[in-house]
Amino acid sequence: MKLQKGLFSATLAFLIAAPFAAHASQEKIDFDRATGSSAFHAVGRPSAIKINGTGASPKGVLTWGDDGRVGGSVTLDLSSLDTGISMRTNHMKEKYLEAGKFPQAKLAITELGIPATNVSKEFTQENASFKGNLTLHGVTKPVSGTLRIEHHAKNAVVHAEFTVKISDYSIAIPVFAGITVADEVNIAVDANAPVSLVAASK
Amino acid sequence: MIGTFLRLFGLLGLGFLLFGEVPAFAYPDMVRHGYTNCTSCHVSPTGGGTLTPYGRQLSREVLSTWAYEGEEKPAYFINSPDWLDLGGDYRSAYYYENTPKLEQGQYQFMQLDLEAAANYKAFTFDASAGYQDPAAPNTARDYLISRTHYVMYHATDQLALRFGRFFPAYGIQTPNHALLIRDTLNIHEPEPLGDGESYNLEGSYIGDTYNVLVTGIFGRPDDPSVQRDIGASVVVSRALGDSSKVGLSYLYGTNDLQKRNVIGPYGMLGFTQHFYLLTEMDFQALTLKTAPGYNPVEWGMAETSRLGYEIVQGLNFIIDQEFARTQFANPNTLEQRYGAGIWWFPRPHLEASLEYQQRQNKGMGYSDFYDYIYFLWHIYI
Repeated sequence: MKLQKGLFSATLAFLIAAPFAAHASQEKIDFDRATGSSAFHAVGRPSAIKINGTGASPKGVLTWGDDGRVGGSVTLDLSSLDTGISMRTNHMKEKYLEAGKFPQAKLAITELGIPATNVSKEFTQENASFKGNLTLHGVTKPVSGTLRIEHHAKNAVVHAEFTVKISDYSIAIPVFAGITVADEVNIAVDANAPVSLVAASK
Repeated sequence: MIGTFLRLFGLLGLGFLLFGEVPAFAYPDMVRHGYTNCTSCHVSPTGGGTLTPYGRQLSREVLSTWAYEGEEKPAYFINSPDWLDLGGDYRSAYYYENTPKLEQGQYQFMQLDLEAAANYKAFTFDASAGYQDPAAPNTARDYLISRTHYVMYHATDQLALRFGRFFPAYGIQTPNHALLIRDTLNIHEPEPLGDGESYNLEGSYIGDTYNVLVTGIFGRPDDPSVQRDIGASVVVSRALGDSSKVGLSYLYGTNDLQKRNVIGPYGMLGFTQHFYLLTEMDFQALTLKTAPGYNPVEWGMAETSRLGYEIVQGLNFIIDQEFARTQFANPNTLEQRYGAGIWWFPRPHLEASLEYQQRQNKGMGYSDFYDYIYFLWHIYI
């Protein structure tokens, strides 16, 4: 009888505790409701022309949990890109990025260099690393970069930077009015995105 | 009297708009848009002269108030082949001054040139041909001038070697040779006011961050009567961020009458895409070759600053300040200028400036400040 009572108590305790123990804390960073912008910097040669372009805020949702798992992706509407010179912008979007055929760039995050114990906490971290897969012009390649994050209770202010080689994405090296753009383009994203806790199964 | 002239200038400005006159040359204020190197827009590493295709695009999309697509083409309609860049300049000015000794207004013809640059493999061949207005012409040939002609070899995207006739690199490249940093130091003074461009051998490195230009100056062997500097110049500059640049220039020159060392810093600072400062200060040690054993050294300096704000695209409000004292030991070499005005690029090919200045020129005997107004118009094809 004692054994039965003990088993019953243990089973009850397990049933009560199991739903909580089986879930880790997971946080959602909601770029769909973020304010921000994207920017890119390229150098044109000869003349070392500095091409500073802008774009819209990326959209999408990223998740990360105290179990270290990272997921989600953000997309950028390529039609929002602007180099400051309309003919140059049109050449970039139509001739090189082929934005009509490939309207978005998508970055899926696979690794985040922020301690998982920071989930849902307020903190600031400089030079955190991240890795992901960037799909651009129909080609997916791994990328890596750094980010700065100010994590508050209800929002996160993020500045991320990474570099891409445009030749990796089957994009011809852009030439405009005698200026050839260097293969490497630096990309930066700034966003102030809401964060919220969600539960996730292990 | 000033009011009369302001009304006259207003009419000239209206005429300018109606009949579509105007600009060209190097516009160092473009640094505020991230164009820290002259070769963004010009064939020449030191700026000015023939525009590159990229420079033409910028003249339409960034420099001018209004433009239609294709308006930036040479002479509005010429589709030149990729290997050929065409250009040309017409510049004139009207100025009015009311000094303690005289009041006068005068039209000044300044420049009428055509220029072309042909690119073949790693070489660029550039030459200009134009009309000048000599004071005492002897033959029809005296009306003709080729201010620049050179061949340039591009070893890499950054390295180039250039030989021919052009201004040696020094300071901020500006067509305004009346600035005190140009006029009082006789740097980049065109013919017939100065001795014009000299024959030079120039090596240039135009990098992302640093520019270095070293020039061997051979004077004017085509005209030995011209006492043009023979010597060398070095300019080293560094981009600060994406929209500013600072540099240091040095010039050594000698001729039968004098030798001199000139050195000075300059800055082209773009605070925003609309707000900028161009500034240069040069110090000169001039040794006169007056007689054997008697070679006095005259120390002096000149400085020019322009603060500009682009009110709407192409229309700039400018404030100028200039100071020169070419001989520290002689207070009568003092010159000062303070001015404000507008600098406008209404459409591609067109530029105009209207400025009111207060000037002091002790060398001319004007110890008190006096009124000076100029209206300049420029057409670059």
